[in-house]
Amino acid sequence: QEFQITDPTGTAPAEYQIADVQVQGNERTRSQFIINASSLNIGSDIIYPGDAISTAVERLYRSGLFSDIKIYVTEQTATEISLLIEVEEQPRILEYKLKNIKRSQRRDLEDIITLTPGTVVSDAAVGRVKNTIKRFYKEKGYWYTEIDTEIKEVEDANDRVRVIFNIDAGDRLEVKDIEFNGNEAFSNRKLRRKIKPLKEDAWWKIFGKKVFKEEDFEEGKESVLSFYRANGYTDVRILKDSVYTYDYKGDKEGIKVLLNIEEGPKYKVRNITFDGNTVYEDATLREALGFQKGDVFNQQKFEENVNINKDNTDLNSLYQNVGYLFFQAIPNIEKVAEDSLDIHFDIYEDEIATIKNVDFTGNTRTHDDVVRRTLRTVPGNKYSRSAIIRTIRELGTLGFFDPQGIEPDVRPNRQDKTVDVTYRLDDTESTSNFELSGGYGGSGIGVIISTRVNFNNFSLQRALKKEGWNPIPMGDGQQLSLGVQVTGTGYQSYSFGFSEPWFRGRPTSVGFNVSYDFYNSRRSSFNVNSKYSLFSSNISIGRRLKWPDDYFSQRTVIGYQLYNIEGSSGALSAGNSNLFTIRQVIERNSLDNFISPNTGSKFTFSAEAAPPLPGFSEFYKFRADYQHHVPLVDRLVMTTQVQYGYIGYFTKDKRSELNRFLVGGTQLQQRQSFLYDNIDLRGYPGSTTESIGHVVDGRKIGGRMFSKYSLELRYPAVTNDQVQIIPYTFTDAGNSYLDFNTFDPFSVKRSVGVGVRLYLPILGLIDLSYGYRLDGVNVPNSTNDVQPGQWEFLFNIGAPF
Amino acid sequence: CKNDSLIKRGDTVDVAFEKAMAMYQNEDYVDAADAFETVTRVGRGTEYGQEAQFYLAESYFKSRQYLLAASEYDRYISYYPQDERRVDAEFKAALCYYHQSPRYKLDQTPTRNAIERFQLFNNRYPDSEYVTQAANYIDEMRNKLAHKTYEGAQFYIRTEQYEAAIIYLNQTIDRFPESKWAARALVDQVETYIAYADNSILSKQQERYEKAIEAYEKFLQLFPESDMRAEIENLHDEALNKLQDVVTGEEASPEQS
Repeated sequence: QEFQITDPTGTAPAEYQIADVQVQGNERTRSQFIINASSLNIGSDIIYPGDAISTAVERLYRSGLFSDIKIYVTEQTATEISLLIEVEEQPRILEYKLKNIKRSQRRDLEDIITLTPGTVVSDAAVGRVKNTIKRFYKEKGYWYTEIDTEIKEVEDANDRVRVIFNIDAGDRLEVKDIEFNGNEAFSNRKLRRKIKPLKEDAWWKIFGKKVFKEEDFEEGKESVLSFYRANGYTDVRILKDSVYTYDYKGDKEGIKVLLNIEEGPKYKVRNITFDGNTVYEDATLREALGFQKGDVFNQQKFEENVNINKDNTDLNSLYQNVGYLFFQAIPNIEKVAEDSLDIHFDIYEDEIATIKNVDFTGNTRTHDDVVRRTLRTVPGNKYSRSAIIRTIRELGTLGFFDPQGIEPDVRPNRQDKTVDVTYRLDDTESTSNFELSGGYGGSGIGVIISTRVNFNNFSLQRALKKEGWNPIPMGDGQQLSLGVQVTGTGYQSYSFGFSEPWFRGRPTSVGFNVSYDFYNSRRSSFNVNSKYSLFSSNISIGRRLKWPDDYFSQRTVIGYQLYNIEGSSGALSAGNSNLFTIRQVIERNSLDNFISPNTGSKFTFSAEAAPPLPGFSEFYKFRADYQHHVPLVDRLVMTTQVQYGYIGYFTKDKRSELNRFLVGGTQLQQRQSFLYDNIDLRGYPGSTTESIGHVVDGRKIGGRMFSKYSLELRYPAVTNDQVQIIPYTFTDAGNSYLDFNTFDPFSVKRSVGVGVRLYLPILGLIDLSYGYRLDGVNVPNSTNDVQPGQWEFLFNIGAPF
Repeated sequence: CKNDSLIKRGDTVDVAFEKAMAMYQNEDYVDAADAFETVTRVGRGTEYGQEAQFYLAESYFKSRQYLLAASEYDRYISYYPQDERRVDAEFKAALCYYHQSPRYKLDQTPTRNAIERFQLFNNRYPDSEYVTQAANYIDEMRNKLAHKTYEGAQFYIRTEQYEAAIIYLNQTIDRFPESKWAARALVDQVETYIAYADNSILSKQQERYEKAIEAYEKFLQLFPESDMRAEIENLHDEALNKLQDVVTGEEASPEQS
């Protein structure tokens, strides 16, 4: 009879029952455990050939106990199968040690080495660690790192070993030369600057090591290429790049980088044509594209203006902002003549897409309503890319979500021409903050200590429930704040505020504030001892408006103030004074950020009246404020601001001398002049006697009008969530006027200076400015007038815009 | 005293396991979890390792660290797929997700995960004693999701964005027809269509009143026994009357444009 050799891969898979399983090679691990872990139990059914065996091997490897695993079929009948599992156990790791290395590097390395105690010491595992170490050193510039390994048995622990890596890092190499060949349009020097982040060493570069990193090199090459492409060299190529060590200066080794470049011709745009566009005319599309006949073909600009650019004026946005989600523009760029391009677009407009579902995930603390009311993408509306961008911006300015973490997920459905939008959010960072600041407010003000607790995502409803306090009731987007400020020995202030931006789920904001200010002047210059206090409370109700556009809002504030003056202060006479005020505010606010706006403007107009009720004092007041922010170059932003105010009276005998305008300082210095309406002006001190006002009968009184102009150039140097540092330079001008007849908008007191705004987690927002004043201020009853031509340091807390 | 009860270097696996178990029995679940964690590490490949893995998950579960508990149950399932406690472990893992499900106003990703796990459980072990319990949990959580969708619609109703409101009411009815929110959503839909029509230009009114009546008919079909019947009847009458007015109004002044 002949033997037939059956190829096991040729046999058809069939089901077998496992008759027997033997385990070999195990000394420390129980056989039954190995069988259980492999899932190949006696009596169970498996398909063979199939993936049962390979899965079993994989499972056993995953246990981390064996360095080698083999499974054999020992017997096979028509229905039954017997298996043999052969394992090789290896000593396990007790610990590993890194020798001959710096302490700091040891810590960094230990973070990236994955050699878990208790796992098997295999060549592969040790090899992986060696590679990790080598990579680590190469990133730091050590190209020739040598590693010896030793494996030592540990005496008192059975089967455990200690793995020792002896590391010899070797010499550190720096990039000493970067050379380009084939470049004609741009010099080596120019290109070296473009190959950043890769840097070449030179005698004057004393900071930092010029280490070669692969990723820097890749990024650098890409940036050289895009530099060429941005200048019309569409065909540019790197023919060859080499990185090698060489001896420079005798026997010292360094790294040389060599790039051979083929530039190709510099292309210019000839004709731009479109086909298939019905919504927009050719001229509109050509303008969006931003290329004229004869322009150098800047590939980067071209791609941005087709797909998406910073200002959303690109071709795609043009269509996507009015609902054409399925829009496609397919460019066909044809080379004509030596160095010209004809660009033709085939436009497929398709139909308008309607938004169907709008959802969001990741609001683990913030309630749905708070998110949903901020969304500008509404189910049933036309799809619009700009609406999504505006939503992201507005969700970011809420302050409850990590602005960088907001991602829209747009899922179009071509069948029924709808689109679902899901926003991914992250609200795990705390939004509450505790601010504690202190500082010196200048002469006559003294040391300032201010603390404030803000709960920015408060929930009153949850505060009434026991389980809501874990630790703070959150989620409804309400604000609760408590503040205490003490200045020197004389001034104290306590405040409490609450606001709900959407009262009962509707776009009406409601808020109330209560504060108590107290000042006791002990300065015995002329007015012996004056004490005054203010109790103030108000309720405000506001609404977002849809007309004239949806950046408008209006607000009504009803307030009650009780002033109490003992002794006298300036022109104000002693006694109690009651005020009941109604203020109406109309505002248009399109700022994109309250700490440092990049774009947008804010216009505020308010009219306030304290009617002459029996027992109450009276006045009326108008104020207007306009600010405009415009990005200049890079991150530089210019802010212009204009402000005016006027206070008038209904009667002759019930006039309130309170609430008149004093100009100078910032809120922090002005706090003790709370009997006045204080207008910020950098470069000038802000105390009652030193502020810009008028002197009548030897006493400083506030003006009935004021003007203020401000110009600021700001550069947000550091802007991450933790810290923001924004240096700026400014020119301010302002004045207060005794009455309408003396009002002259061009007669102002001026200052110039520099400053910085810092946003720090515990301290909140701090503003430091150092201003040089060009004009002086008369201080009554003293010989120390505020002199022109001097510097004034000012310090403030809170948002400026 | 306390120090003796802690696992020390040099303790054998069985001693370490006994110590961990003692903490577990003393209901000191936080320390027990630490101890079992140690036992799973040193006792890998032994029976103690397996026991410790199970009780590690239990300790986390009992100390309400559901996220950790779920991953330890899952580890148990993947290490010991043949073990009979697997059914318990799978149910408990699903239960961990259930406990992580937050109130309806927040992100419901854990809720959806829990529903998926319970459904998987019921498919895999249709004869288990936990099946009814799992089904009840699924109902409860689907009701929560329905509530969330319904409240989304309520927001759009409050802010008078009728189209959006109708889309979200539809979602409530279509996705969660079995929930108690579906009937409520249909009543609201009739009301919303009427409000939408009231605020529409004349040419659109007829269609929208008709939609209100359609929603009413759907309600009759789906929830004939509902106690919201009287409420919806009134709305239906209102829609009918208004529709009548529109139609007769159009007939009186034939189209001019």
